[in-house]
Amino acid sequence: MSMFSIERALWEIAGSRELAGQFLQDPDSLLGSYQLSDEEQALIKSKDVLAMADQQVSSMLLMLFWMAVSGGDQSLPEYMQRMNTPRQG
Amino acid sequence: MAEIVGGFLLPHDPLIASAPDAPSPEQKKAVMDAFATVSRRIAELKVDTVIVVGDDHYTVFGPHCIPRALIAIGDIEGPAEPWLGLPRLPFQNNQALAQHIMQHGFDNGVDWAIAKDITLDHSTSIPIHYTLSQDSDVKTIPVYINSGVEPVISNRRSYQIGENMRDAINSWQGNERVAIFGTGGLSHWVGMPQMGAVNIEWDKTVLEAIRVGDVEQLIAMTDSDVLEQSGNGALEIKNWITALGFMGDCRGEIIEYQAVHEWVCGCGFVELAVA
Repeated sequence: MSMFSIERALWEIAGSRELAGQFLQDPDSLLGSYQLSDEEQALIKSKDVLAMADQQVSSMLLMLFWMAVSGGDQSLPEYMQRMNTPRQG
Repeated sequence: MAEIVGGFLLPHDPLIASAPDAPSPEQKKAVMDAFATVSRRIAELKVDTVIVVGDDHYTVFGPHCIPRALIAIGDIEGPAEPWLGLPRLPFQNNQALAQHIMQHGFDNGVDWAIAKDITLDHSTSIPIHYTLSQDSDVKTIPVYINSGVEPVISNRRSYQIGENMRDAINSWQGNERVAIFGTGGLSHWVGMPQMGAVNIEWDKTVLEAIRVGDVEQLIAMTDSDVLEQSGNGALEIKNWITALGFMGDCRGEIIEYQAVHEWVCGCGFVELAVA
C-alpha cells in the first residue's frame, strides 16, 4: 500500500472538475489509469476517508477530494460523520 | 536604504470568505474589525511592500513537488480556489525586492524554490484581500513555508528563513518601507475528526509568548505535541515564527483573538514591534 500513489490520485481528482466527473461516472476506468494496486483502487473508490487517514494520507487532501466528489462543502457533515465513525473490529 | 517598519500575525482562514455569515454577528465583526486595524496600521506606517508568509494546502502544489520554502518573484494572482467566492485578481509584486531576497538567500544559505508566475491559494490571498484594497499601491511578496503538508519544515528553520529575509532587506539599496505578515493558525484541525474544535488555552499560550517576546517557547514546541493538542492547522505557527525571525527581538500587541468554531479556527491578530 503506497500512501504516495493514493495521494497523487486524490490530488489530481480534487483539482480537476473533469477528473472528478470521470471518478463519479466510471471510477474503475479512471483509477485503472494510475499506478495503484487493486486494494488501493478499491479504497479510493469506497471514499473511506477514515481508512485512508489511517494510511497516513493527508487529511487536508482527503477533505478536498471528498468535497470534489461528494457535492462540495454541503457534504462536509457526512465527511465528518465518516471521520468520526468508530472503526470496525 | 530599505527599512522594516512593521510586522503582523493574522489568520488566513478560507471560511472567512466562503462562509462569511457562519459565526455570530459579534464574532464576525470582531474579526473584520481586526483586519481593518491591520489595514489602517499598514497605511499609518506608510508601508509600501508586504512580505506575506503563507503555506500551501495541497492546492497549488501536489505530491509531485512540495517546496519547503518558496518565494514568488514574478507575476502573481489569486485566489486559486473558486469556492472561496472571491474574484481571481492580479496582485502587485515587488519583483525587484523579491529577486534580491531570492539572491540573498542563494548566497547565504536559503535555497529557495522559485515561482515566476503563480496563482496563490487562500493562505496568501485572504490576508491580501482583506487588508489591501485593490487600488492600493502597496506591493506584496508572497512566500510559502511548508507548514501545511507533511513532511513540514522545522520551527528553527522557519525562524532562520525569517532572519535571512531581514538581512536581505537590510542589504537592499532601495527605499522601501517593508512589513511582514505571518499568516494562519491558530488551533484548527483541517479535515481531521476534531475539525471545528478550538483549543483556546493553547492559542492563548502562543499569543502570550509572542506578547512577551518569547519566541524560543514557540520554537521549542514539537510538531507532534502541536498536532496532538491543536491540530494540523496549528503547525501554521511556523509561518508566524518566520515573521518573528524577520522582526528579530520584538514584542506583540494583541489586536484580537476569537475562537470561531463555525470557521473551525482560533483567529488571532497581533502587531509586532521591535523591542
